[in-house]
Amino acid sequence: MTVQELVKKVFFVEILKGLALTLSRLFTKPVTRRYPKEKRPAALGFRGLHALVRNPATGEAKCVGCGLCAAICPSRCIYIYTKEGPDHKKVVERYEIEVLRCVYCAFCVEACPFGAVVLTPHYEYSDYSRDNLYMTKEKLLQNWDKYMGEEGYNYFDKFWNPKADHFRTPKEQPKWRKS
Amino acid sequence: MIELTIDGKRIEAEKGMTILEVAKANNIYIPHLCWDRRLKPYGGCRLCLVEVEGQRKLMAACSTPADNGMVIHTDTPNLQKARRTVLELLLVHHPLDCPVCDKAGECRLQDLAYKYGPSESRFYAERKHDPEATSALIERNPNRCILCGRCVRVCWEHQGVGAINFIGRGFKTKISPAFEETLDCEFCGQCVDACPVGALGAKPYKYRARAWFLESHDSICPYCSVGCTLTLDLREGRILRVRGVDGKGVNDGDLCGKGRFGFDFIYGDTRLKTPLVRKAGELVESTWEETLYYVANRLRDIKRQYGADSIGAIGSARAGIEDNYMLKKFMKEVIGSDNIDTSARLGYAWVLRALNDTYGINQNPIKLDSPIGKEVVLVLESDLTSTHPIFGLKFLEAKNEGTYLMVADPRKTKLARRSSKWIRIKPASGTVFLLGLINYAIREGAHLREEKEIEGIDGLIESVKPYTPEKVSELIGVDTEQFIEAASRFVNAETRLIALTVGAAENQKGYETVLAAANLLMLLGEGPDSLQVPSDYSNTLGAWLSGTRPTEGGKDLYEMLYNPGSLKALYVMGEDPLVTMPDGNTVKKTLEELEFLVVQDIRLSETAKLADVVLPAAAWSEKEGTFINSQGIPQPFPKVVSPQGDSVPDWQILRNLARVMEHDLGITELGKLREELSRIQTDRGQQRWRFSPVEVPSVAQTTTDYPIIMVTGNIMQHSGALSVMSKSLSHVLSDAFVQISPEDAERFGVKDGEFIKISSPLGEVFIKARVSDEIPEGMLFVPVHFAHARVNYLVSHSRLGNAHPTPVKIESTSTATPRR
Repeated sequence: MTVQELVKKVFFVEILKGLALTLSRLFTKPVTRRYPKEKRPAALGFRGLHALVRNPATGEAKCVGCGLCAAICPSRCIYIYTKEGPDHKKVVERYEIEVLRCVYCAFCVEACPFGAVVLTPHYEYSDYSRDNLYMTKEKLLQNWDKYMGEEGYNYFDKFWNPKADHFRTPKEQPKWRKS
Repeated sequence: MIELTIDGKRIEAEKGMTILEVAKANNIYIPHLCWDRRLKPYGGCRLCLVEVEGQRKLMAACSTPADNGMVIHTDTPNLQKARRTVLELLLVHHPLDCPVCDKAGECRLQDLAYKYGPSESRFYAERKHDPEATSALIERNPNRCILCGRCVRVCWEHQGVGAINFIGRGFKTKISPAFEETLDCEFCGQCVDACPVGALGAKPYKYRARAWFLESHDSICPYCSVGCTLTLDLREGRILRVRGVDGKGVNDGDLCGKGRFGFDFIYGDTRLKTPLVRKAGELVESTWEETLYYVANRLRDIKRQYGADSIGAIGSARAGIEDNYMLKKFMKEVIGSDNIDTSARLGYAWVLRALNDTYGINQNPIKLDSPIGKEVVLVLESDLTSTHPIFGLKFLEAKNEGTYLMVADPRKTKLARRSSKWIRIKPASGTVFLLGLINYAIREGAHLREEKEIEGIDGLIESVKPYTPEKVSELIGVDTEQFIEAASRFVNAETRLIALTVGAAENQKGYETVLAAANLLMLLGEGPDSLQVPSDYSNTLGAWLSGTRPTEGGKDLYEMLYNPGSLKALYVMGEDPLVTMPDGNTVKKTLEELEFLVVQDIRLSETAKLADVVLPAAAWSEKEGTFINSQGIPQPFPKVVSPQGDSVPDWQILRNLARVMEHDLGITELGKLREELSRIQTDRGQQRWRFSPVEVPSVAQTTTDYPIIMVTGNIMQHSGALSVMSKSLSHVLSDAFVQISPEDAERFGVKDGEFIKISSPLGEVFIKARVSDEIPEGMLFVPVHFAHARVNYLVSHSRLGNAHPTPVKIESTSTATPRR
């Protein structure tokens, strides 16, 4: 042990250094958020509670029940049941997400060819019952109204860039290109 | 043998194979859409293009024969470009509605577009907007069709129907039934499996699940005795659809409508969910415990009072061999009675008896491929494509390959339509036709050709003396010349085959028909392989082989059912004698006179409605089991769904009942049962040929009172009394009908679709009439599947297994009671 080390030990230099930082913080603005009162805004693309996108034209869910979200879901927490509706159209009978099993990877959002499922910025949904966290189609649509609403479309299109447009039939004949 | 090079690999191949076939045999991948193993090359999709060195153009691999020394490339930049262009052109009209298309995930076009195609097309045209065409079971979406023609070709070439074809030209080409009407075919669904895209789909499966949600299990079809392998697709424990998969099972991918759509009988509304016990005249729900104790006490009482011989049991031709064996064991060890039998007594037992009387064998399993390569095949008064559809297909296949298919049948069946020669004989005159052939063969000296001396030849010659061509042609109602021509072709052929079916449902053939066929074949020096008589249902042969029949002199089915009062208690397992057995009146009387009737079934059948106790059994695919098909192959099937309600597998019910009766059968699990079954030795018998003269029974003739012959039988969409439980099959046909010829309709004043009264000396029924030219004058054809039609009440039974066509009288109801 050198003399320098001995001095450091006897006079608690390290501890004093640390306390000096503490002292200095006493005079600065606190970084702590007073969470329940003060909420942190979610960043763009935050993966919170799930929602089904409402089609502004019809007011119904955009989902057509293609099942790609359920196929890609790594925790297998999406259940889709479809049936033949009136005039032989495909109708999504039930669309259910077991939120407690979700790992928030958002693969479902990326896989969806119609931009019909989304993770909202809402993150406060702990509950005392599992049943309340089993999302049905109605609950998921309500989630959209509550947490995304009008500005949701904007945010959603900008950030996730859903692939639905790629499936649209082009209006005009594309120009010939030499390949 | 030829030698060629594909992708630098030297390959040997048979001459005559196409490039695609050679590549497939050597695991070299060439994309294709319109090619099908079962069909002739078509070259419609142009995706299987390959480069052949020395050829300027790209060649279609599916229709170019491989040649010696060919050097073929299957994957070059040039080919990639060509395939991409072909796909782009296919996608010009194909809608990109994969998210709602049921085929997505298993779509061949989707896979190929993913593999080769660009994500955008250079071409743009107005997509088609034709409406979807729905029919009972098959859904057509013309927009998605890529016109590969597989459905058209499988329907005509393979299935022999030709319900659909191309209509229109150019961009307007589409696949449609004649005159763009609603599809009304036999609903085999082969086109659905053949379609590479989502243009054809099964209606019950429509929008029910995505391909990747399904789990698949292989099972064995519960309907006929061909024993096809079904691939069941389940989602969350419910069967959603059935597919035939290429290369699997005896059917090799082919399925009929019953197999493909009939699986939903297990979800039928009439399924039993709890045991029922009759209390004060009503069947009331009960618990297993209470019911089993009640059954045990009653059986014990009856045994004590009347002896074990007063108790009988009927096994099932649809339950597994395990269940039937357990019933036999229960009857033998717990009751101590040998009164046990199955419906085979009214069909297959006659066949076996006839074979024993002639060839001396006890078993004659059929071979599915037997018609192929034969010079002449004779199908005798049997609608094989209805009763055993996949076996029936082999006859069409043989015909396509050059076999002379001769059909002797009064009905214009599918085989008759596709035959080389259709002889429209009178109903129930098949035996006489065969005797005429024997007579002709003897005249031709066929019996002298063989060196082998067969016992009883003199008796045979004597017995067929009266059946001269002139006499026979008069009896069967055809020209003498026509008969002689057919006879000479049959007798002088190199190889030949006779196929027919015999069953409880069919009353125009019987023991003597098989006997005559066997005699004829022996005379011509043919062994038992040339006589193909399949057993009726999925496990008719299995029940027989597992010993569900009297083996120690007990009462057989006749004595049990057609002898009222001979039994005091009857245990019926999975059989509905009131519907499926002829002479319903006597059967009903027998059942009503019983002191105690137990019915163990999957649904509340007509017989169960008379029972004192009804026990709910688990259905096919709700339990494990084994069927022995008509080829004699034991095929186990797995349990894939959970039993409905409180139902329990048949063998477990019997095990539990034995326990309640304080008997240990020594069987606790299925493995033990199977082990015991595997120890059963079956005696196939030694071939010892002898002629057995045929006595044509005095068949009931038409009289002035009963001027028309009624023939009962099976139709394409139904099988026994089971298939009516299936909603899908009922969509096609749910009501009983009687087919009547236009001439008779005119004569008796019957209009198409009206109810007519049919009466025989045994009773009368009211059935809807269908005027059809499938039927000759003087004949009625009635399917037997529908309980409410009570057709079997008109038909007499035949103890000796002879044909027993029924002369009946018909009256139009509109003339009997004029409508106001």
